[in-house]
Amino acid sequence: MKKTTFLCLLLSLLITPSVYAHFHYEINATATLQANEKKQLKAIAMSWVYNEEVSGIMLRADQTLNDLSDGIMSDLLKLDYFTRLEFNGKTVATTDVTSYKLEKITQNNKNLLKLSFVLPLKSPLYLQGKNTLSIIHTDAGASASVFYRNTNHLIVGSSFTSFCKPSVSAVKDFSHGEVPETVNINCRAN
Amino acid sequence: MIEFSSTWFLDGLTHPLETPSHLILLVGLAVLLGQQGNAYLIRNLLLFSASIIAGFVINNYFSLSINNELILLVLALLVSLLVILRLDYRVAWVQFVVLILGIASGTILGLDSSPIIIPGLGANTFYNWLFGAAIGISTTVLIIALVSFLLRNLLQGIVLRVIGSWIATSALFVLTLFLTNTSL
Repeated sequence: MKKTTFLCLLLSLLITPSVYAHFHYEINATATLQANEKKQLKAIAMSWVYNEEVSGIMLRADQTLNDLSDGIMSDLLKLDYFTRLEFNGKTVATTDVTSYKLEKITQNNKNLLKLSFVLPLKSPLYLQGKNTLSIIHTDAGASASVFYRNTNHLIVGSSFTSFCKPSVSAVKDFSHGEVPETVNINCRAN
Repeated sequence: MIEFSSTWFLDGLTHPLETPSHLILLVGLAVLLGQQGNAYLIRNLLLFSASIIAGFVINNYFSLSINNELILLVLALLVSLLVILRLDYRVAWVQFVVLILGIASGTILGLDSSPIIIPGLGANTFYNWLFGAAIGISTTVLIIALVSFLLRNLLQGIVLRVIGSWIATSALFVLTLFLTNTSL
């Protein structure tokens, strides 16, 4: 009887952590601000590196990288590219991505997929002045989490570097799952 | 045009075996169906399989906000308790309860089986995965039910009842942790 109880408890211990598991995956992002000739923000170039698990799933999808990238961008369009831009708290309108590329890369001996695309703004923005540009990433399906980790992955570019400073911080008082980030680019008068 | 993809079919096929809350219910239900095998085993298996498809369809067209994990565990507990009790299959209400539990289990398993939605992996992935999952769930139950059917009278039915008690204990243990919002 004791043996049976022990086995049951052991089985339960093995089961429990997985019962609560909900599939989600991470994307390591890098964003680069792009300026026009008037030093206005015209677009944000992003590169997303999918984690090893999802990269593997995509690579097993029996599709060429070109077909896969077309499918990804077509689906991401319906999901607003997981991205919302805010300028001083107000949503910034963007247009459809037309420039994108999917490539296979190796990082730390892992075969990963890297998606690069340029998200154009509908109207260029002057960042000069006391302004804050926020980059917010959300997946309605709560599967994807986009992380920058540190300011090295937020490149403001030569047009804005003298007066804009990027910041990446964890959202406070977040109790469930991996803590999402607040990604801001704070600018001042120039 | 949807094409067969072995990758996604196999991914769906192994899904129930990799999802412990599904597996615990599948094994419990299969043992119950096998134990009650004399009473319409094939009918119950077919209705179970049909209800999985119904669960997929409901999941695809309606977004129900129900606690699938909780229902899966409660159903696992109920089916395993019935295995322990080993009620007389000739009684009409027992047949009815087994049938309802089979349909409810199939539906909730279908509802809780969703392919990973990753942008770029389209309809082909979705339907191949669901097809694999339906075959995986049905085949697992079919095999375990047939083995249980053969073992139903071994040692006067004690073997299946012991398996039932293991499943009931596991389900109850996990259910308790679930309801107290505790994770190990």
